[in-house]
Order: sequence, then structure tokens, then C-alpha cells
Amino acid sequence: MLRSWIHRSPWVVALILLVAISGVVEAQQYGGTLRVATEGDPVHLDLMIVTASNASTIGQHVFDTLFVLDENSAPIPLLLESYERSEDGTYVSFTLRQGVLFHNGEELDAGDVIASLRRWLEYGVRGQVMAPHVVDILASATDKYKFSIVFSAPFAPMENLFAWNNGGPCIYLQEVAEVAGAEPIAEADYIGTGPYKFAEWVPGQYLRLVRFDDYQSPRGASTGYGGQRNAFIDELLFIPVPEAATRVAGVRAGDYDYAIRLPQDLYPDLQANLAINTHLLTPPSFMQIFRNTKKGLMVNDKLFQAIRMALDFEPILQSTYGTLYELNGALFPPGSIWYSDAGTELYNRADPEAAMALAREAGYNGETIRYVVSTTYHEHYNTGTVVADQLTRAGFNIDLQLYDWATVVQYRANPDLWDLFSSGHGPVPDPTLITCLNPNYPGWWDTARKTALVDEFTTTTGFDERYAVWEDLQALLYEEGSMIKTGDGYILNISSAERVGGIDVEHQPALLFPYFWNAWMK
Amino acid sequence: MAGYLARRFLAMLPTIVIVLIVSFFLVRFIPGDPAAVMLGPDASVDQIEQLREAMGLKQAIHVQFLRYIGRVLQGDLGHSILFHRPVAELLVLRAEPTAILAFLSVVVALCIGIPAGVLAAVKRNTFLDQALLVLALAGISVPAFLLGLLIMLVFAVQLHWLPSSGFRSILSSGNIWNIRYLLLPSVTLGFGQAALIARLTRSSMLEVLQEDYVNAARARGVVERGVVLKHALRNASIPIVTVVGFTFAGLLAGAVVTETVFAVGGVGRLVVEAVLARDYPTIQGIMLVVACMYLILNLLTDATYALLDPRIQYS
Amino acid sequence: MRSDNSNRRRPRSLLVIVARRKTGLAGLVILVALVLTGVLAPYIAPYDPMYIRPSDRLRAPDSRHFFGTDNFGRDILSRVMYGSRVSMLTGLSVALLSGIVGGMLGAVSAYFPRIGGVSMRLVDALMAFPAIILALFLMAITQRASLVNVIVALSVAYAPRMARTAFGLTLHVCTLTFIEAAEAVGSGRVRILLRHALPNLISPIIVQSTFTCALAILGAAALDFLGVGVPPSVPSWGAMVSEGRMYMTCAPWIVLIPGGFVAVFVLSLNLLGDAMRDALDPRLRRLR
Repeated sequence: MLRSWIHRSPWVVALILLVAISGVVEAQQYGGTLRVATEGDPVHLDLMIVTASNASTIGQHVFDTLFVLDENSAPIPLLLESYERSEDGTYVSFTLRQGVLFHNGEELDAGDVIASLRRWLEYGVRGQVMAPHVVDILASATDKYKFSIVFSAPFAPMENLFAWNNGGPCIYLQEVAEVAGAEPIAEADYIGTGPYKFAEWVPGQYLRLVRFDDYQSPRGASTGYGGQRNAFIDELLFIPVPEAATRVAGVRAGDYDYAIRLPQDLYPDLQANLAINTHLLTPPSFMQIFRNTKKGLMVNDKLFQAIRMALDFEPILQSTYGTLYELNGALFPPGSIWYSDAGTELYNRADPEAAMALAREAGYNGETIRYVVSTTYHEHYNTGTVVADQLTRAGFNIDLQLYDWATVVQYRANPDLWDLFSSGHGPVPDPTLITCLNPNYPGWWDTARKTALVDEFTTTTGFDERYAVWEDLQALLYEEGSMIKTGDGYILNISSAERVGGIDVEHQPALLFPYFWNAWMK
Repeated sequence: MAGYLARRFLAMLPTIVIVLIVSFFLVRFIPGDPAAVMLGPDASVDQIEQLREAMGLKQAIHVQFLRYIGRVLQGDLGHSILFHRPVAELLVLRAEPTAILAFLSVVVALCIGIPAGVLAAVKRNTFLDQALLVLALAGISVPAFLLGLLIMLVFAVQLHWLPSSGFRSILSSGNIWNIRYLLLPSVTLGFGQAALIARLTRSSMLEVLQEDYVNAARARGVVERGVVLKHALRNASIPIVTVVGFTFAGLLAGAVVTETVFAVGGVGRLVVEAVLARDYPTIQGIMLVVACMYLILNLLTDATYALLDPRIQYS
Repeated sequence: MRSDNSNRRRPRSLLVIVARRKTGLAGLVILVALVLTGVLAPYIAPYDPMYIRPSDRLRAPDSRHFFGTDNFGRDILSRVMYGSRVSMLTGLSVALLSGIVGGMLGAVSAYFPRIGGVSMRLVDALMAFPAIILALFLMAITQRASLVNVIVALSVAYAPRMARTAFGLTLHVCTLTFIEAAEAVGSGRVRILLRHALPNLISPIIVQSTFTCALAILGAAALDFLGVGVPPSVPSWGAMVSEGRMYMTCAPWIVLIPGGFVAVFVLSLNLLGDAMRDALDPRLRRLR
């Protein structure tokens, strides 16, 4: 019956087919330039030694890591063909994919990886988390695509750490990694294996990446940062636009196609605008209030509990994130494999009277509590202002000290200078990456119980066992840790609905470091 | 006159030395650590120390200073901590939009301000005078980013006549049409400057219009317009030249707010970025170059005084 | 030469003379109103300017909040009232300091070229320092952010302009006939400077000072926002404008209202300044 129908009205059929095909063709075409309005120039693109998000956002198109996170924040291989852990977990062997090319035409081999990992373990920001556990990295004598790592004990966070490019182990050329030290690598050495290659950087005007034609994409369905990557767009231009209102105006005017980090209060208007797509980055970030456990008033655990008890987090979150927030005391959002409510009965008690009573019980007598906050980032400033206000009204004597970021970073490193300070924290794939767990991070949480739990957490393999330890660790944080979490907040980006497609779609949500492979210009 | 200028030129040197010394030590007094800023929020204390060592920040301060002076004498302004390129190269790159912006905005300011000021002086105490007063005040009191944002919303977002923000180099691309990126910012800046120029022109003209030589010209039968333009304006120009002189100089150091709003990577923005990142070499480089520019501009301004008013003599 | 009549008129109230001109009166009235608002703020402000209430944030002007609320839910009317104290104090102090110190420096430098050679070099060197660096430096030395730091930093930043203006004008004025006449008669140089040259500088300096005042208010705002201005416990118009600009498109009143107050303040200063100049300027007296 279908055949007779086709015979009788071939034009209709042809028309239907044409419409169907053009629907597919209109999507996903090659070509064009994507103009991204960022908050400012990155300091550099040597991703191993920088943790600012715009460096990761831009650099991830140029440099690859061994693993990468999928849409559920789970690590999947990117540059690896396979890997295998030994029975006791201390020996891990890796096999690289073959035929992966650097932007200068050289093929990726174990020599490049080993040199990069060595540099990262010594100087990389996140490398210091893994370095104490690594005994050696060995090349294979016979196969240039194989290498192995020997750990002192099973190291469970390995895949997650390898998947996190923010201060993470990006793979550079062997000759570049071997000579690299504490200082950033030169622009001429921005040679990676990613879908885009570094072309040009004029600070204050733009940073240009162009498609790498010989890119070898991983196979498999696209999921999160992983899976198939098609560089449809010819050229990516990252333009520093410091003023948020200008970033928005620029997208509306047609000068930019994507804009990063806009004030959350603009969300209702932007959402209503049909020409603009809004993107809430997942997972959410959060603000933190740290206490100085080394010296000064806040060494007192009870006083710390009192401070947390006094805080009503909803107004704090509203002032920081507008309507784009969620009250969540767990360090991971609901839906994450690491989500747990252990310890969170102490979250958001919002009871200033009981707090003051507890404080007096702790021996607090109205002494000055120094609270250091940065004015450079509005989220820090807004959070700090409301927190200081609430604590003052509860009866604490708060000395709110506002400095620019560079000063805050210097002061917070000195335990004589502060009692509380605030900063932000992005979503991370593994609890070991949470900064307050590092005893050297300002706050200096370093008790025997905590060290024991962290060691146990790091060396336990098997997710269920690790999760149980994590629950204990989170509960311990609430009991005696150095950090108060305020709640989850979402970062707001936008793109032009008319000009850009393929962003923030199923299986490829808007993640913390927005990526532009698989996107296309309409 | 030539001798005076030559002596002024030589006198610039002590000023430059003062600037070099003070800028070097002054910025290092300010708390804050360039290495910590570079590594980002999650770095540990050890890593920061490691980077400081690598950057040469742990040497004794007088050693650092002497090395700096040595390099400056060879024409090397140092290496930017933040941008990882020579400071001199960075300054040239960022100076282009700032210089063009300064020039264009002064042109806009003069084109609006002087006629407005002359008109207000001639029509003194009439409604026109008051209206121009209010308009002039609007120019100076409306915050620059508000004005800039409004101009951007009207001409770029609604009308699509010009790009809303950003900048592309004219010199390196050879494309003269890139100047369109600077048109909206120039108008924004110029409008604010126009107010000051209009007010000064007005008050200056008012005084000059009472002078004897003006009355004498009128008595001779010179047409009123000739009186105003040829005799009065020329003599009223002295304070205007002064203002243009250091307005231009001030703009060369960059109009930070306008550059920020319109995402123009100029010197003003560079100062803020460098200060916030404690990029000592860049800060010092900027102060040195700006000081030299002010000195040269002052020379030019003084020379212009002599041209405008032959009675001014330099001993 | 001035007539004798004017000598008798001058000691009588400057205020009376100014008040005779309508615009001067208007300026004076507005300025007094603003000053009174600032002085009486603790008694007339409807809310505590620091009272944070995020559930009320970003409300448009309504019956409960006459000028609306900001991003922390603070009442803008109250903040504007309290802010007038800091802002006017900042603006006027900086304008006065830079005007007097800068003006004297420039005039003296022009009139005594040997002093001028050195002093103008220092002024030139000073112009190279952006206000933000000076403010950061002062904050580092005094270990705190304070209003005095802001005023000093801004005065030092604006004084060179005034010095240059005064310098140029004095050079010009020295060429005028009555100066030569006074020298010929044998008047001392300092006396000439004070009695003859300076009055002719007053009108451009007044005009320029009113602009310095406005610039100082907005300049203080930039410093506030970078964390080197006044501590945040102190509201100021400029800081309100600076902090509020992120909310321009969704809550414009946060910026427009304090910005409006700055404009009105500058307007009143200008009107007053014009009237004062007309009263003081020796040559313009002939017009009345």
C-alpha cells in the first residue's frame, strides 16, 4: 500500500524527505566563529598550575587529560584505550589510544604522559593531593603506548583526579613537560591533543582557538565532557568583557554568541527573552565560611558551632544567588553519588539565641572576631555582608575586613591575621578535591581523626566502602571541621538562541567549564 | 624660547628618577602576592612560595631594585607577571586604543563644549544659558557607566549601528574600519569632558568680553561675531588649553570606567588589572611611561600658551 | 583700579550678594537642604541604613520604601540620607584641599620661577600616580580603610590638575597691565600675588573645584568598591552607584537615585559657585 502511495504522489514524498533531510542538515553544520564573552583574560593556559575557571574553560579545548567526566560526573577514559588495577590496588597499568596526534603532528605516546604526570605531581595544584601516594611512574620497555604507576597503597581517587583538568594533569609534549617548573609554560608550548589548537592571544582583545583538523575524537556517545567530540565550529574567540551588563547587551546586539557568569538576578528577564537561551551550570557551586583552627578565638570548637547555629542561610543565599539557590548542607548536591545528609542536622539551625548561649558556654565574652572577605568577587562580598550582619545581630562582635582578592589571599595564609574568612568552591568529582580536607589550606583542619578518615577514604577501593567513609568524614566536618557551607548556588551563562545550537542539550548539559565542541553556528 | 624648552627637557630627568624610585618601593608596600593571584584560589602555601622563588620575588629588595634600574637603562621595562610578555610590548598594545580614544573624545568634547560655552557666554543669563548649564551638569554628573550603557543600548542593541563593545587593533590588522569600536566610547567620554570645557569657556569668555581690547574692537566697528571669535575666544583659550592638556594626559592614563564598560583593552583597564594582580613590573612601567608623557604634554601646553599669548615670555 | 564703593560693599555679607541672584539662591537652598538632610539623618531617616533584610531585596519604590530597596533589602531613602554625609564631606574636602593647596602651589610656582622649577617637577611626578595606587598605599601604611585615607588619596590625585591650571593662569595674569603697574609702583611681590593676581584666579578655580567635587564623589566610589575606600558600615552615594550597577537592568532605582542626588548636589554647587564668582571677581563687578 505504501508503494502505490509513493507511486501516486512522488512529489509529496520527495517533499517530505527533503524537509526531513534539511531538518537534519540545518542542524550541525561546519563553519563559523563562536564569540564568547568572558569575565576577563585568563592568567595563562598552563592548566596544571592554575585553578581559575576561565583558564579551564578555554584550555580544555586545547589540552586533554587521561580521563574526563561524563554527564553524571563519573570519570571515563579520554586518551586511554584501557587501564587495569592489580589485585592489591597498588599497581595500575595504562594503555593509551593509538594515533592520537598533538597539534604539531607528533603522535601521543607514554613518554609525553609520563613527563606531564611528573611535572604535575611536583608542581601541579591538585598534584599535591596524589603525590604523597605515588612511588614511581614506569614506562614500558616494549610498548610506547603503555605505562604504569606504582602507588604506596590503593589510591581510589585516581580516576577522578586524572579527569579534573582544573589544576590537573593535562598532557603536554614530552619536551615541554620535562623542562617545565613552577613557572607557566610559554604560549609557543600550548600544544595539546584537543579538538582546537591555540592560534593567537592579544590580551585585552581576544584569545583565538582554531579547529585542529587532524583531531582524533574518542568514540562513543557524547556524555558530559566525554564521548564523541565534533569540532563543527571553525574558530573560537574568547573576548574579555569585564562588565556583566555589557556581556548581556553584547549577546542581544549580536556581538557575542555566548556570555559567561551573569548576575543571577537577571535570570527572570533573560529567561523571558526568546532570543536568548539561559544555562544554569551544573553541578552547583557553594560559598564557604572558614575558621582558623590554628590560632585565635575560633580554635574553640563550641564557638565554631555557635557561629554556625546563628546563621539563617536562606537570606544569605538570596543575596548571593537571587532565586538560583538551594538549601543544602551536604557537600554534594542531591543526585550526586556522593550526596549524604550525614551531619546536616547542624545545618541551617538559624537560632541566634541558642547560638549566643552556646557561645557564652564556650567562654565567649564579646571579643572581636576578624572576618576577612574579598570585594573583588560579588558573591564573596554579598555572602560576607549578610553573614556579618546576622552574626552581629546575634550578639557577636564581628570586625568585617574588606580587601581586594590579592590582599585576602595573602592575609588568609597567615594564621595571626584572621578568625573567619569567606571564599567560594566549585563542584568537584571527588571528595578528596574539597579544599578544606587539605591540611595546608587556610583553616588548617588537621586533627588525628580527620587524617585517619582521609587516609582511609583515599586508600579504600570500591564505591560503597568509600561512600561509608565519606559519610563519616562529612559528619566529622560538621562536628570539628574548618568550614561552614552556606548552600548551593547556580552560575548563570547565556547564549544566542538564534545563532548557536548544540549547547546544553540532552547528555551534554551546561557544566562548570562550558565546552564548545559538538556545538554549531546556525 | 628654545633655550627654555631645552632646559625644561633636561629638568624632566630628576622627575623621572623620582617616579622610578617611588613607584618601585610604593607598590611593594601594598599587601598582596602576585604568585598567589596567579595560582588561583585553591593553591597551597608551599606552592605559592615555590612560585615566588621562581619569579625572583624572594631576593633582597635592594637587589631587585638595582636589577630593575639596570634593565630600564637598557630599555627593558621588565616582564609582566600577569601577561607573560615584555611590559614594553604590553604597553604599546594597550596604548593604541587608549590613545585613539583620548584623541577622539577630546575632539568630541571640543566640538560640543566650545560652541556651547561661547553661546552661553554671549547669551548670558538667558534661558539658553541656564539650559546649557543643566545639560553641562548632566554630562559631568551622570556616572560614566550609566551614560555608556545607555548609549550602548540605544545605538548598538536597538539600532545595530555600531558594535556594542570590544576592540580590534587598527595598527596590526591595517583595517581602519576597526575604529568603529571606539566611536561609542569616545562619545561617552567626550560628553563628560564637554561639560567642563563648556563651563570654562563660558566663564573665560565672560571675563574676556569685558576687556578693553574687546571694547576697542567693537568701537572700531568690528562685527560682533568677529569680536567674539577672533578677539575674545583667542584670549579665553588659555585656561581651555590647560584643561585640554591634562584632560588628554588623564585620558592617556586611561578612562577606566569607559574602558571597562565598553571592554576596550586600554591602559586604564591595564592599571586596574595590574594593581589587582600586584603585577609590579607592569605597574612600574605604566607609571614611568605616564610620567614621561605628562612631562612632554606639559611642555607642549606651555609652548602653546606662548603661541596664543605673545605677551607670555619665558625667562 | 577698583572704586571705593566696592570696598565698603565687600565686608558686608557675601551671602546677601549671592542671595540677590536667583540662581545663586536656588543653589544655596538646595545645598542647605542636602546638608540638613545629612546632619539630621539619624532623626529623619525612616529605617536603619544598615538594616539587611534579603526577603525585601530589589523592591521598586513603594509606600513602605519611598526609594525602594537594594540587593540586601536595605532602604535606599535612608541610605541616601546617611550617604549624603560621607559623600558631601568627601567631595567638599577633596575640592577644598586640592583647590587651595594645588591653587597656591601653581600660583606661587608661576610667580616665583625659581621655586616653580622644583615644585612643578614634583607636581608632574605626582600626576603619574593613579589614585587607586595611592589609596592602596595609604591603606597599607595605616592598616585600615578609612575616610581620611580616601580624602587624602583623592586630594593628592586631583591637586596637580589644580596646580597646573593655576600655573597657566598666573602666567597669563602676570602679563596684564595692572600687575605691571603695581610692580612699577613698588608693591612687594607677595602683596601683588595675593591682592592682584589671586582674585583673578578665583573664578576658573571655583568652576574647576565644583567639578573636582563631583569627580571626587565618584572617584571615592571606585575606591570603595575595590575595598580601599571607606569601610562598608558607612553608606555613600558613590558606593551605592558603584555596587548597584550590576542590577541596572533589573533594579535601576538602586543606581539612578543616588546618581540623581550626586547630580543635584553638583548642580547646587555650580549655581552657588557661579554666584560666588560673580560676587568676587573684580572685573565682573562692573557688570552689575
